[in-house]
Amino acid sequence: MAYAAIADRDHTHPLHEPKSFLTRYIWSQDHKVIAIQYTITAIAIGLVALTLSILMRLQLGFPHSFSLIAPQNYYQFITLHGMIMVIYLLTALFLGGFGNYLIPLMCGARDMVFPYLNMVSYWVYLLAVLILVAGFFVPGGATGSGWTLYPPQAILSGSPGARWGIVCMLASLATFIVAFTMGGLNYVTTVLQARCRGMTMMRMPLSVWGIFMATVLGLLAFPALFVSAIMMTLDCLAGTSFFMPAVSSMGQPLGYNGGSPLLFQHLFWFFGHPEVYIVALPAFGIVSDLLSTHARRHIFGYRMMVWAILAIGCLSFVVWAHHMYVSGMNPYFGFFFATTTLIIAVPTAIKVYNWVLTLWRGDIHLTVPMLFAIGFIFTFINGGLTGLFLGNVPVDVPLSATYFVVAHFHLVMGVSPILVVFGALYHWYPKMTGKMLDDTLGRIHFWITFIGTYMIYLPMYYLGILGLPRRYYAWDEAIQFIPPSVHTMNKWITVSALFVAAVQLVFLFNLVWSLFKGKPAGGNPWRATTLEWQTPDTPPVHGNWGERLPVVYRWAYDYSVPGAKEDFIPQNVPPDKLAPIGHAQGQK
Amino acid sequence: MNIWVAFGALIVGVIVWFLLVKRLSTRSWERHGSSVHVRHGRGDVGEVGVPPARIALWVFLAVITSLFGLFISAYFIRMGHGHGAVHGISDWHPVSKPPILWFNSVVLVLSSAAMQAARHSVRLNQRGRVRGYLFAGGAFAILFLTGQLAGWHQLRDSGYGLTSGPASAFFYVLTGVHGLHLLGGLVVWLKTAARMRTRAVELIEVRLSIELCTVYWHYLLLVWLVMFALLLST
Repeated sequence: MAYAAIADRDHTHPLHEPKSFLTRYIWSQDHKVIAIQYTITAIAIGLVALTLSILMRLQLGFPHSFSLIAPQNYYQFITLHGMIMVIYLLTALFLGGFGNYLIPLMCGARDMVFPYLNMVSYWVYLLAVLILVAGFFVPGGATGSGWTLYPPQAILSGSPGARWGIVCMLASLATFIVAFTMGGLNYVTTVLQARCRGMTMMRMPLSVWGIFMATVLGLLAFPALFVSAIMMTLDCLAGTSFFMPAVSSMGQPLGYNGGSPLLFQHLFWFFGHPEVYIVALPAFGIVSDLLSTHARRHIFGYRMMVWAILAIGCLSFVVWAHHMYVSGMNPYFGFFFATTTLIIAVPTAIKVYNWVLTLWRGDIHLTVPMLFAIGFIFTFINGGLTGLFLGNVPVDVPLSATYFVVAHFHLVMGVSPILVVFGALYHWYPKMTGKMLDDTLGRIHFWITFIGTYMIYLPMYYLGILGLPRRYYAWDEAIQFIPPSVHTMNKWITVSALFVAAVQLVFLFNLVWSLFKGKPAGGNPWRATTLEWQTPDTPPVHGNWGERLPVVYRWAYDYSVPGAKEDFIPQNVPPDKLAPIGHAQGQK
Repeated sequence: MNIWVAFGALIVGVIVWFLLVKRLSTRSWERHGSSVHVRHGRGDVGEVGVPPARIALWVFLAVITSLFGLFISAYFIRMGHGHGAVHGISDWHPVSKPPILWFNSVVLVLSSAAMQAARHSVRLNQRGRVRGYLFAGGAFAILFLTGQLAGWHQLRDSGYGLTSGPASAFFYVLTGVHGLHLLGGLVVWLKTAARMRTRAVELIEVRLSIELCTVYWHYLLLVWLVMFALLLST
């Protein structure tokens, strides 16, 4: 029983090609259009989060200079910045954006296996974003409980948005999870079922592996957030006491009794830690492909890379309570979770070594995607090694509430994946649009972003070791031990952040400008081996492959094969089209 | 807390099993066997025989397993952790289970059995029976949902509202979430049943829908039995 995604074109059952503008670009079921819709929406909401972070930085660098940033606004900005960046930008962009674009093209399918479901997934995601944004405008404003939404404070009247803000946030998250589940079913099933002939699991590019495993993690972990969202909404609206302990507000008992805030933390982090890898694994996969392509060298240890992705995926479910060392949970758990946390560093380190060894003696082309990929390795090591500090209970306890943690998680799961997102956009933009992004603007974008993020986050490590507490609106007289130099440092960080934010506008300009004025890219500008670069049309048309589906004869990393005419052999080149390898080697 | 670790171990076990089955040991960079057909072995490239909808259903069942597994862990944790206003005294008071739940359980078993019979009749190509059993399966499911609503009323009338305590709150949430999943199944059932009503449709065209509905029905029956046992025992 053949079906559309893996069938050669059959004229008796034509693919339902879109006819009008509406079906082609708006209600499209084409995975490439849906991918671009996801990408644009995610970037748009990401810009909101970027703006919020700038507002926070202005307050921290120049306290009390901006009357429009009141303390409750500051907490709303923190909350929304975190939630948007982690879920609505990174998760949606990696899985909805790159997942949608790359899975069918890299696997040699005509589309996702359920195109209609795919379309619905995007529109439900958009709905989730709109509900999230609506939170700003409800009475009381958006929730200001921190991105972790811990009860009881999230629904107590002291927090901003304790009534409707938090309900909007929970409703938006639940909606997002529904959208993600629809998309995720598609990604997993497409990878398992719609690969073209010859594309075995162990010939798939690592990008697909990373996205695949991240989707599996998402499908199993997001239910935890869903469960906590349902129970917290009931606590908030119906007055149940799942998470709410007996508590008084302004001297009045609130009618809650016996709930367990710790239960919420367990549920939240059972989702929250896999979420780190939902973001990181696609980044790992994509960066592997970027490094291999632009270093003209096969990925070092392909099998080990796949195993590491799977091992990280499994382990990510048994480390969640390392976010809760200071929560008051049973201290013996700390021992267990510190151990698993340190174990997860092993497969991660294997990946880092393999990336470095891929570069070793490679023919490195310092293209813009490559710059971002190398930038990722640096940043990931910096952020990751400080994770080893924080994974140990005795070190984490004094550092947990300080800027050390802010620097750690921003470098490891903020900046690192974002660098990959940029690298990937520079890498695949030519396939998406047929135009190259401007190289000079790209280099400006890279260097200011890369150096700028270090100017922001390296000082924060120092501030953290000094003991500067995070989550504070201002450090006035209340904290006597902080030397005045901290304020100078905060100004420095804020100014750096302004530069980094401004240069993102250069990137946006580049995206739009190159669409019209960019150099034509041709079908395979990076001379890459993977299938998406072998489509008959660029950008690929509906159905991707013309009359016949590609057939795959080799793995995705045949770069600089000794004796081959070119320094890359695409996956779909049959062996009889190659120069006889033994003969060529004999001439050497 | 043990249940959390067990849950993690379960997931690890499933994935390790997956690893072993898929034998991730292919040396895909080596050039032996130049023909594509050598590599196109069993279990490799999208097995054309397995419809994607079936894979998707099983993946979805894994998602629901995670969902209900987490609800049940939350149930146990809340039971153990909850402390009343007076420290150290648990606020967990078991609710009186509405007797109608026994009747509902029998109805859901019948519903599942009818779906199974419909699936069997498709194989025997007995069109009339397929329609009959399919209709019965859906009707029993609707009866089950009505019975659950009646159960909610009985519970409320005996003094256990949503906010009366954690046990009754969990009762409403667990049965509610299970009911919503069954309701979702009924939407698919309704589509299938509607297609069956057109004379032109061949059995072969609805075979897959009926099969997947049946699997989903059995699965929700299993979830219900686990939950019912949990509610009865606590």
